[in-house]
Amino acid sequence: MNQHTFKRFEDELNLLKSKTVSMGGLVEKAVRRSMKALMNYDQKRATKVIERDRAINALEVEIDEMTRSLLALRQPAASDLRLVIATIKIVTDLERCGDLAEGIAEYALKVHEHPHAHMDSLEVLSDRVLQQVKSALDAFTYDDVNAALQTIENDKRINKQYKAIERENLTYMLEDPRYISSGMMVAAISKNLERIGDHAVNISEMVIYKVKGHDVRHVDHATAERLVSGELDAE
Amino acid sequence: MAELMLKSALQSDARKRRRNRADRRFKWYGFTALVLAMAFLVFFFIDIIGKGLPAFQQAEMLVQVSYSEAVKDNYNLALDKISRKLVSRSWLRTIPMMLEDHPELVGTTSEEWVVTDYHIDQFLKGHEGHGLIEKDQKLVEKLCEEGKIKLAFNSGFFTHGDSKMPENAGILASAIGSVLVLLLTMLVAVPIGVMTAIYLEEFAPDNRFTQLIEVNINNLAAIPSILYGLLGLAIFINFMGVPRSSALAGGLTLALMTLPIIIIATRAALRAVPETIREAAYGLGASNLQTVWDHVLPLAKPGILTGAIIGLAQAMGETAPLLIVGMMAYIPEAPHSILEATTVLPAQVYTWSGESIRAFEERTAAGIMVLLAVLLSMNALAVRLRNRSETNW
Amino acid sequence: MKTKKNKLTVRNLKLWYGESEALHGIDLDIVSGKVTSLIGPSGCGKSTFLRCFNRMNDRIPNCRVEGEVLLEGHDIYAPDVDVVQLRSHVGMVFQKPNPFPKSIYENIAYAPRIHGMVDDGDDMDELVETALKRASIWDEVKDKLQQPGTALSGGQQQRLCIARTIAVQPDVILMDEPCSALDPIATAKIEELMDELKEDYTIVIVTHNMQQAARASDYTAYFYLGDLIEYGETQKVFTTPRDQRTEDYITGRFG
Repeated sequence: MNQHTFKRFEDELNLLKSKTVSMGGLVEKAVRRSMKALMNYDQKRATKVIERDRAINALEVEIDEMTRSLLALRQPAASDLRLVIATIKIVTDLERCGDLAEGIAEYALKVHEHPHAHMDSLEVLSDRVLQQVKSALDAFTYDDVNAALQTIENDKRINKQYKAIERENLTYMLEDPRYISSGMMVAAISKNLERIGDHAVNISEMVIYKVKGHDVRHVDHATAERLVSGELDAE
Repeated sequence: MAELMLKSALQSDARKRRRNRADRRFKWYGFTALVLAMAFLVFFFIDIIGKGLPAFQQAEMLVQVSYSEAVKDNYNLALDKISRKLVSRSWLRTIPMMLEDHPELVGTTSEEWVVTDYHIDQFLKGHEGHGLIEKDQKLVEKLCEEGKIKLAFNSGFFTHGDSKMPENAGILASAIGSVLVLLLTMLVAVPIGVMTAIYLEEFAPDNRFTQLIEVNINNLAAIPSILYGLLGLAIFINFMGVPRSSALAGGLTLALMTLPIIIIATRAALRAVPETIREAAYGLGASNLQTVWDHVLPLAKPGILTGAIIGLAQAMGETAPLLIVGMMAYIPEAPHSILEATTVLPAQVYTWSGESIRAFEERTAAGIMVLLAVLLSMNALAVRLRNRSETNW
Repeated sequence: MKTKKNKLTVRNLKLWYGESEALHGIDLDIVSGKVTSLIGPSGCGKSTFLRCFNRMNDRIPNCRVEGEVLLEGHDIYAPDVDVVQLRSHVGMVFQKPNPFPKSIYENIAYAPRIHGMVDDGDDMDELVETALKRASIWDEVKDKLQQPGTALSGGQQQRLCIARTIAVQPDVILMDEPCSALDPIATAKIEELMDELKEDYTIVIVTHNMQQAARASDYTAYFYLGDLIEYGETQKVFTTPRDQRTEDYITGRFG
């Protein structure tokens, strides 16, 4: 793509994107660390994750500020406009992810109260979710529509696995009523992970909007693919 | 550091001082040129006015005129012996003619203020070379003391035609001639010139032919005016048979000369009308003619008038082409038609300036003053029109 | 999708200034009752294209047009078309406000008079009032109809010019950068006016101001070097242009 005639505008757009990418990095790290703290009963690490959520929130505010001033002062159009719009949405998703990671970290502070909780399947789910977050952010960084489509497609597997964990967890609770409090914790954590996965999907959809200008929310995957490939016109 | 640099940049060094000196020198050159031009102009005016003003006064003498039958045959008998020598002979000669027209005056006598001989006039005005003999000088001085000779306003200058007697010579004939010639010039040159300019500027296609015409018109404005005289002689007098020396010949010749000026001025005025006005009219569906007539011409009118007046003023002051068509002649009678022999103001001035009698000198200067006054008022009118044209659109 | 009625249809329009081709075969449909904006860098041919609709280019020597421009199906370049009549159907508003240096009343009354629409008198008074009201300038000038139109402010002058154009009751109004000499408030008034007028007239506007095209038009055509690069709904063109050259132009990337 050609350079902007107005260099400062170009710089501001680049800065907006890099800030968003680094916010994504922080969120990704928060999710990974909160899970690590959970699995290792590491209260210190959990506290750190909770503290770092403030940095994520601050970044959200900062990026919002930037998008507002870009809209007001530069009147972006076309791809620039779509970048700004996508960023506004992505930042909200990222902030929610940060909150969800914080929620997991809060459970990590209390996880020693549930020594018998079955958390192996949570680890597998979190690996998948982390992969989703990472690929969504990569798609954003490199404007990679195919990676974004793949991420959306992959979410089905996460949902499937989340259902499996839910059933498994329910079985444990039915077997042993004393497990119910542990089971509820596992249910809450898995719910958080599944929601993080949903936000990764939202981010991917915004990446597709940003690059192609098509809104693929609420359409089935096959239609989305045809839209992206340009086979299908938006009307 | 930066402060120091700024300070030194603001101070003057040798180079800047040199530059400023060159500035001042240039201003001074310009001012000197202006003063010089002004000095010439002032000198010219003082000279002309100094020489010309006395011509507006004329020596008159109170005489006893006795009209009798004998006067019809010998006008000298109308006056006594002394006054007979002092009054203008040109007046004396008119008495028999007057008696023909007014027979009832025969047998009466009357006291009248009569124009004197030009020698007395010159003597009273104190001019060198008045040519009045010593004996008569005494007599005139005595009559002056008695109040029988005085200097009065020279109305004859404006009511008489040319004459070989300086005291009788006036500008009326040439002024009427000028008016006639100018009217003819205007009637011929203004419509043709304006129409030509409108056609060239608004209607003609821009091709080789119109470009050629344009170049030629620009060149015509610059050729010596005497050539127009030759052209007029060839076309109007020799070919078309217009009478020589007539106002028609002069007017047509001057029209030829004025045409390029009017065309150029009109084209400039038309070009000064903003293109946006034409676009507005065309955009509304006005035709070519409607656009030009309704919108362009009203805006260009003051400019066209200015150009026409300046062109006519130039024609008014022109002598060279009229020399060729025979208007530089002794023509004492005001013309009654455009086909009669006529002279014009500048030609009259020229004729007087060549007279050998000294008394004509002041009349030459007075003629120049009248001519200048007319030209200046025409130019003033042009300036006024131009100022009025500076409406904003 | 609603069926769109085309007011103007352009087919393979080519235009030459002498030997150089300024428009290279344009195909475009101007939708009736909508505002269509023509954008593009200077010298891209958008003004030239606009002036094809009322044959204003006829005045330029050596200007040659090929192809078809149909006004409701009638070829306006057909030999039997009277340019004067055409221009009463396709009005034009220019870049610089150019009221005639006459009274406000005369500015409006001139064109209806030369086209013989109404006679001077009450009918003309009514027509002048209607036109001025339609152009939202009546309230500002009703007490000074006999004053010169040139004494108004720039924005008022431009609205007077619009009133002058609609006094002939055209089908199409062409606007050649109508706001480039106006301040933002006056510009907003003109844009608001365009929005009102498109109920009755089809408007084609050339503008250098992309925000203006985005704000005020329903359709946008992007011209570049004498070619029509992209044409579509304004909202589409400004959010998701199909062509990279359009994208570069409207985002301010031009290299």
